[in-house]
Amino acid sequence: MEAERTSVKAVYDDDLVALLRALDVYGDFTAHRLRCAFCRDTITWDNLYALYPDSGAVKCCCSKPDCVEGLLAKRSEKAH
Amino acid sequence: MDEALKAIGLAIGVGAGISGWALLVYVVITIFKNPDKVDLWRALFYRMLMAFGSMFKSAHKQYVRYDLQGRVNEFARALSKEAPYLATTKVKVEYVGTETTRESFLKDDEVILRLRSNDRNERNFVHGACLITAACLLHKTRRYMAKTQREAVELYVVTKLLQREKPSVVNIYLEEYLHPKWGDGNTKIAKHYAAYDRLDKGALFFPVFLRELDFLGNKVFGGPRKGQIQAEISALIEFLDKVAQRKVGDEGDLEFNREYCRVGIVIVGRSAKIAASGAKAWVKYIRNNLEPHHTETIYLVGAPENKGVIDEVCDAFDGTYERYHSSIHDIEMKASDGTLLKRKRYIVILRVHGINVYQSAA
Repeated sequence: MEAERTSVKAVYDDDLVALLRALDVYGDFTAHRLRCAFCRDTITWDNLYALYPDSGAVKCCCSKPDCVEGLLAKRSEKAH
Repeated sequence: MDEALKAIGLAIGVGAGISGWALLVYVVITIFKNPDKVDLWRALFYRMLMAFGSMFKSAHKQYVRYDLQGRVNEFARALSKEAPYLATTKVKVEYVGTETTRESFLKDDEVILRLRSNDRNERNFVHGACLITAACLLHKTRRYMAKTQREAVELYVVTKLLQREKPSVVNIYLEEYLHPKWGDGNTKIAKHYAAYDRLDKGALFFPVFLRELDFLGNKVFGGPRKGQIQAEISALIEFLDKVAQRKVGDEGDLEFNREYCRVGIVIVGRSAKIAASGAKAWVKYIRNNLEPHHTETIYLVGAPENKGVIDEVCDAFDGTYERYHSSIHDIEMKASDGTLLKRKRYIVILRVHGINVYQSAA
């Protein structure tokens, strides 16, 4: 059976600042205005888990298990 | 003396040459036979480079990537015997960085997972395994599940993955993911998790459950019927839980016929029946009981010595059912006095031909 290739995108810390700049959210990040889309906590260097696009905006998810689950559920609904 | 040294030098040189070639041939054959292992070797290589500190700055970045994708793919491959659909997904971790633009990010519509350079206790692996398991391995499976069922399946499969591939990080996963959801053990998630564990102990029934969810995930439904499908999934868990806990010789209901999920388990076991009529008794049972109910999946289970009879039963339904998968498993069964018996079982899955992907509203 031919395996289906699924790629998972990741950003390593060394490239994170450049990525946030490229996504035009670095200013918000340093000014503590970037919030978790699920729990509304401020996104910091310590709690940033993932970035994802939603309705034309760059959204962030913090590393709380409920927020991670929220992100997965959201993506699953979208795929469906 | 000089001649002797030359001879020894020549022997060592030839020996090293031969062993060098032998090693190369061995490596090529091993890579050819186990392509998934290459990522793990790469991870090992970068891990060795990490020992040199800042001299190889990007070694950790590459280690995290190859370790994660290598172990996840290895887990999926190892489970392929029980759950072949898992092995159909090969995961690749792709780093993004400066080449990404806001436009390409919004257009690609993909999650970007953050992997840390300060990888305390290898949390990167735990975070990556969670995302990959839910988004890639159980992508279709989780589609129609209720939130608590889905979370419990993910917790169960990730725990299995970590226990198998990286036991050193299991405690981090328990602390950060499992315990907060577990509560006092009476939460819905804890109850589902316990049920999955019972299904898994029967070795056969957790993969059956995942496979049925995968089949459901391959359908699209007209109208809002998520509630009904979730109720069917709950009933399926109860059904399989009962089957998993039955004792050898118990006569119980082995059919699950609902609107969207129709499963029949056929146990080919009684030697007297086999001696008297061969495959005929089971062919008759399927024709009279399962076919009229439009059973979509039939799981035929029996001792490996009854393989010939099971194959004969399958051949009788060649026109209506497709032989989807067959394998031999080690399973645990309860004897009538409750003691656990470890047995090998031959399992064939028959899937009815021509199932509609689109299930119209009733």
